[in-house]
Amino acid sequence: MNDDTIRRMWDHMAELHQAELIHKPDALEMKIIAKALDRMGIVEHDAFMQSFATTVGLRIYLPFEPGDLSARCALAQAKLCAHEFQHVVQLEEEGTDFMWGYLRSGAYRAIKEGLAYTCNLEVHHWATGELLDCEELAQTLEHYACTEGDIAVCRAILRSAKVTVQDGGILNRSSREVISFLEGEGVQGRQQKGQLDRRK
Amino acid sequence: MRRLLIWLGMAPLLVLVNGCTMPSASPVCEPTSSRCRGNAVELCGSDGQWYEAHDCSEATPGDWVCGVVDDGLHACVRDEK
Repeated sequence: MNDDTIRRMWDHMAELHQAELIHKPDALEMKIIAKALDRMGIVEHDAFMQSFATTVGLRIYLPFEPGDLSARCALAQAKLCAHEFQHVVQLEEEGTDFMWGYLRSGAYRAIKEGLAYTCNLEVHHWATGELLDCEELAQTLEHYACTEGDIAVCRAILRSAKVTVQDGGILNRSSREVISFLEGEGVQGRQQKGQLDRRK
Repeated sequence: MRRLLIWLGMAPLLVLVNGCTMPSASPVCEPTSSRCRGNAVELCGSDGQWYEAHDCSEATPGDWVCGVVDDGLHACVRDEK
């Protein structure tokens, strides 16, 4: 499992969904959004630019170069890849209703993020055999202009998904695609904890 | 082109802010409650509306059905048939 495999995983997913990977620090529109979100008190400028990937339509803004294992370990990138491309799947399935709903409704946003975080749960379980903490995952929605009520719904989605995942099920298309690509590269799930966690 | 990109970047924020003031439908369910609808798990959102969470027909590998698990929570469980 190396940087080349991870870079090709991103490229494969981008090609599959006809999406574009963009280096976030170079994107003027992201710098503007970062300033605005900072002023609105939703998320700090540097955190938005350096810690969060952002998907807008078919454009995925990454705060690091795909495959750069010094920035994020292989497992973190695999989970992030499934998560961000699940938003692309949501767009493919619901069209503009998805974008409109995501922007105008915290309730809708919590549902869609909850489902995307289900991908983190799925890929992590495939790679390590372990289950992520749903509470911790749901709490991430603090940075998405969501209320405590929205976060509680996200938690419920993850608890429901956890039942399926711990029984070996995969619910989301993008998780299946990422896992299928990595298995095609010879990466065996549940044996990768040491390798996938390792940074360069 | 640069100006267009700036406006494209700002548009989501304007909608986000505007969305906070828009009216929503009357609540029909208790937030965080769940149910099966067909073979899908539905969750009640914080706005009191039902949303499809998981379509158990699409879960893999094998066959999955919507069912009730702990604390009345609904989830996709293996079809034992």
